[in-house]
Amino acid sequence: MRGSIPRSVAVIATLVFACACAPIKTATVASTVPGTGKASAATRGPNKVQVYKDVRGFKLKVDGKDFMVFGMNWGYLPIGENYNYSLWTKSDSFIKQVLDKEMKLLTAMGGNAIRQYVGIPARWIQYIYEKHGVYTILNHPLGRYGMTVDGVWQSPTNYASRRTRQVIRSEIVKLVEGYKNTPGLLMWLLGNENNYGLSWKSAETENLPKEQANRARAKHLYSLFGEAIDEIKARDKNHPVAIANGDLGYIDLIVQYCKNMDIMGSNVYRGYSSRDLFDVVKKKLDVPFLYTEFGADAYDAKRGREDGEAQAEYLRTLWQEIYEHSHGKGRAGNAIGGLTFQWADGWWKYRQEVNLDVHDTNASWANDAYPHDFVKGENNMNEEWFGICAKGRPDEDGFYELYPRTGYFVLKRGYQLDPYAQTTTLATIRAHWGAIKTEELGPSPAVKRLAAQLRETSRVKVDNVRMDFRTFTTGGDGLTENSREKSRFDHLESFYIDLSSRPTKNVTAKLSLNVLGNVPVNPIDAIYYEKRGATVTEGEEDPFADIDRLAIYGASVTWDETWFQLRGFFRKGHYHWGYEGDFFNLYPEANYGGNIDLYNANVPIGFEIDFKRRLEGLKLAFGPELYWGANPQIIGKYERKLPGEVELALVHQEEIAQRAAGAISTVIPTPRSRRTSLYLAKELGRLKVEVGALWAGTPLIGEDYERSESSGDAPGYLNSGYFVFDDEIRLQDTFGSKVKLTYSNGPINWYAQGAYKGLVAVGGSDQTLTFTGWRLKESGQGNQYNALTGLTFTRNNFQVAPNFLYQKPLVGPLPSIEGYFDRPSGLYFPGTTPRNVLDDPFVVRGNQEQLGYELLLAYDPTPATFMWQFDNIKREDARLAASVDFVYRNYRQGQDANIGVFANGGLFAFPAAPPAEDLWEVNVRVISNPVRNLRILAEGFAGRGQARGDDTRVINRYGVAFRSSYLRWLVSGHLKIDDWGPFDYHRDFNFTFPVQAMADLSYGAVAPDWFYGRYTQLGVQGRFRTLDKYSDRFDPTSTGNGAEYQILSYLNISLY
Amino acid sequence: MNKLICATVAAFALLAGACDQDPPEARFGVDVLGLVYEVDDPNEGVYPNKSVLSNDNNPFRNSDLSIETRFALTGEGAVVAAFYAWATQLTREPTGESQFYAALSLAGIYETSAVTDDADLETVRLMSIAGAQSVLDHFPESVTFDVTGTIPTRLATLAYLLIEELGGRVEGDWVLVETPDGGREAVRGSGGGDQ
Repeated sequence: MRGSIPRSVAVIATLVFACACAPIKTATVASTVPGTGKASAATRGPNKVQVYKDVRGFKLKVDGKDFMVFGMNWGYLPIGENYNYSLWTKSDSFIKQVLDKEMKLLTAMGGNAIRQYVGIPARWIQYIYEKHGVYTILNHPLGRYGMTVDGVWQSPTNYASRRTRQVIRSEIVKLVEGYKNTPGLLMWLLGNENNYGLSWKSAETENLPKEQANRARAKHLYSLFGEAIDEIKARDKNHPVAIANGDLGYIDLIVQYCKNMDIMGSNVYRGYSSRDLFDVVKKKLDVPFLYTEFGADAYDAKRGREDGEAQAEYLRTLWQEIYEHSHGKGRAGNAIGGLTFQWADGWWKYRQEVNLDVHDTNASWANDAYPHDFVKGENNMNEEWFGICAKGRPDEDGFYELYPRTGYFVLKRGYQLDPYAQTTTLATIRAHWGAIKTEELGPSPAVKRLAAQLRETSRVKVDNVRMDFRTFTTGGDGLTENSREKSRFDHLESFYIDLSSRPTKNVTAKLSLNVLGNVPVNPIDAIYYEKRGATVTEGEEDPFADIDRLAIYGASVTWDETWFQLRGFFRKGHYHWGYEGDFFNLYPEANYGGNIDLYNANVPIGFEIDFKRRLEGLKLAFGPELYWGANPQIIGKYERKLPGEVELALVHQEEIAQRAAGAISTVIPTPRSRRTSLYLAKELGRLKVEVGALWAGTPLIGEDYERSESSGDAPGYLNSGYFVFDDEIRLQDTFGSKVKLTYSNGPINWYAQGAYKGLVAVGGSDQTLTFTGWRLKESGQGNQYNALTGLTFTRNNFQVAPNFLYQKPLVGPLPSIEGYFDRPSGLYFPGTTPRNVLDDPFVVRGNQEQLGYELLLAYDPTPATFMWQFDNIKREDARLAASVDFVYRNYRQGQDANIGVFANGGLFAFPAAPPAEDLWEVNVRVISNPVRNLRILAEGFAGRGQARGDDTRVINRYGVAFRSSYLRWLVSGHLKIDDWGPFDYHRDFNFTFPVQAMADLSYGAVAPDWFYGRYTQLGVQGRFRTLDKYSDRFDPTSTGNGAEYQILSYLNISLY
Repeated sequence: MNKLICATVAAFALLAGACDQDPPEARFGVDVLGLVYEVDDPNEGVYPNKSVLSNDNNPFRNSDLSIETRFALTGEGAVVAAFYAWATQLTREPTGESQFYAALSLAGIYETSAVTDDADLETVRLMSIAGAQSVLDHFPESVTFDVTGTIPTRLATLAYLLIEELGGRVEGDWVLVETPDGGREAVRGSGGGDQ
């Protein structure tokens, strides 16, 4: 299946090759039933597995006995996890429990082999064999989903690269040397439909038509297959070698390059019958054939419900066909079995990194060979539903139950016929398999009726209930509010109910409600989500406060039609379009984490529509606040490939009205605008060229603005040292353009970009990631020209990445000049004040003149778990990964004024801005998994910073933070010196604290979730900070510094 | 869709070529004594209206005026300039003082007929009354100081008197009472109100 294995397999393999560990002593299975899949486990060394051939066809023989592969694509992956989960990193007792339970179920069905990617330690192959009599087919993916070459993650894998081929061959050699003597190893398997991933670029193929280019690449792939096969066969005489091809693609190249291949393996999805497949293999390759994947999903996309019986019927006919084409039946005689796809449902497969605990029913590709649910023009293959067993949710220790579907029972009955018995003929095969009635082996009518009733009653269901109980003990000294100095106690109860509904098969809606119990008045961080339900003034009841005790915490809807998919969201995030042609970032990402809770912001709100079929490439989004601070708008994007592999995207954004208020100073609505961008991109081998044009801000044409220029030695306007001009926004001020070049060459990558933006040609900040985690990026604002360039050099897992930025506004910031009324002449000389976004068509803020330097150093031995991935703190699997990022900004010019927010939400412009200073910042991040179940994240920062408001004080700030979990324990904390407080207004008004410290310890009912953080846990947290004259709430009349503390105890309950 | 793409590309090219190049104007002083008032918005200068900031006739819409300049304009009898100055300040920092002097300046415009069209005079009178009423409604406790900056005068009383002088009717429960020293003071009949 496409995307059915983790891209990190290669990395895991690298780690495991070096430690094929000592065998485990187990009791051996002695029974042997020839040919029926009941394996013999008498040997202590490697099994002797041979391909037997005579005039009647092929057979596999294991230790001299006939063996048909009653195999399974098996894996253990709990709901909520994805490809990064590895059973083999768990404790031995856990693994044993899992294997014993699952292999018992597998062998009860008659299964005798599993397919495993590299990563499984040899001792577990042996254990599975010796304890359960199940063989393992060991699969090296040959870079199918990318691979690490010299410390650099490469995806897609470039099979034409000599070095890449060398690395793959070397991995294969290590694999064979480490595993070839493992009892229970059945065969080597290479790749996984790699012929579907022939998309790397090279100078050699770039000018060829697509088909020819793919064929040229396929030659490199299959010649590598041939070399890998030869490497294996030179070292291991006991096990055959197979490849896992995508159907019979490029079979002529397989004939040409894989001459020593023992078995042809293919992933085949041809419906009820594979038709001429066995005959083609016989004719062209004359080797035995093994299905490495085949089967059907258990979800009826047409009717929108689970259908295990349909799945079972496909399996029944396909297995009958295998029997019929096996040795001595008078047909092709080359079928030696198959690996059914798959053992249990994979809840992670659709979108792979989100909704991991949702059993998505999205059909991601169409296949008319499955007529029971095929509708022309619609997808019908449901990736998450291919299991012959359904999967239950894991318990607190990570174990889950399996619920066999009809397919399991069909195979169980079918496998009872020995394919190689003397009495087994075509007639007996057809009689045996034909007698299996899927409807008889499926759920009983009573169970079906119950399931139907359950579907009805679960149209609206409770997904989760969460309950947060907290107590706050606070006190302090030297505070402006005397009452806060006393030791006080208060408590919080906050309840969440998550509901979902599926009114029709293609519409899913979710709603989360929050209900408040008591809301405390004493937390030292006085802005928090539940504050909305607090009394307005301490000690004074607000008769209307109860209205806010119930709130919609979040809502979403997905509507999947034939020609569109609609996603509605309220307080649920969405991603940006930066990687799909939105070159000027007009539609930014709206994942705000805890910030929208903190400020009780009801954003984002709106919906997105992705069109399909003839309108493929068209997207629309509409809503009152699509992202925080957005004006009500509609935005559309059309993206397509032009002839010559030129990528084109057109984006138009139409703001319908201007939003009046903001919640925090960083999300102030900008003047209502209209924007259109055009993007063209073309890859020229390793070089990608991207160009874009922006036309934005036309509603602002004709608006007045002031500009100033230095008067040099002349006194200037009102002796200010500046000449002042009155001007207006013109058409040319609405244009912008941008060019970006990226050159990717494995260990060395380089980019350069430049942009020119007219005064009101405002885009969004760059949220894309170029090569690595640089912080120095284009601000996206109008009124500037800029240039950036950066280089990454990676060797032996170390990366050095310098990066540079120069930007300058076209029109500089406006100085403060006091107006003057000349009484004798009656003339008034208007003064000037710094511009601000509320009153002026443009400002100089993030686009102020600066020269920025950055040096990023990183060490990451497992680049497949990308260090800059948004959820890396959860995914990183390196023993130690670290980065140090130093950014120095040489500001050469001041800024215009920022906007502040009053406590009531009203906006105001600061009268000035801090002067230009040179600022710097260092950020250090270390993530480590030193031993099993222990995870550590440590971060540090130091820097010289400025306020966002008008305070001119420059601060030097330092801090460290850490988080660590061991089993169910989680400890975290931070220590900050002379840093701003936790809220935006602290930086706006330059409120700092000499010391801020926090320590938190919790114990969970399950292992901590590092990214989402919502699980049942009991914990205690201490916060402490000292206050001085620069601190919020400090009483300047007190002697010495003030202090505040808070002891928080919490019990969070999550039912799921 | 291809046509749309072509049209967009062409539009970008055409528009880029159509840019005008008029130079900006260097700033110099503005004659504010000779200004005459043209009604732009009948709520201009009355809190919380902010249309004065987008009135092209307002010479102060883009600048901050010191309080000295505002009083200087008022003292010079430059009623239109004074109105714009106080009304602009009112939008930036809403105070009773700015509201009152904006209303007083409107009264001056009315009395001196400093308008472009005499037909607007009645509108100006009503605007002045509305501005004074706004003092009573929104800034009832505001004061202004004498030239020494030490002696406060309650603006509510002045606003009350201004409304009466303009022939208007005071809204709300305001009454004019005699103070012990023989003066007059506007107070609320039942107390309370916005701050």
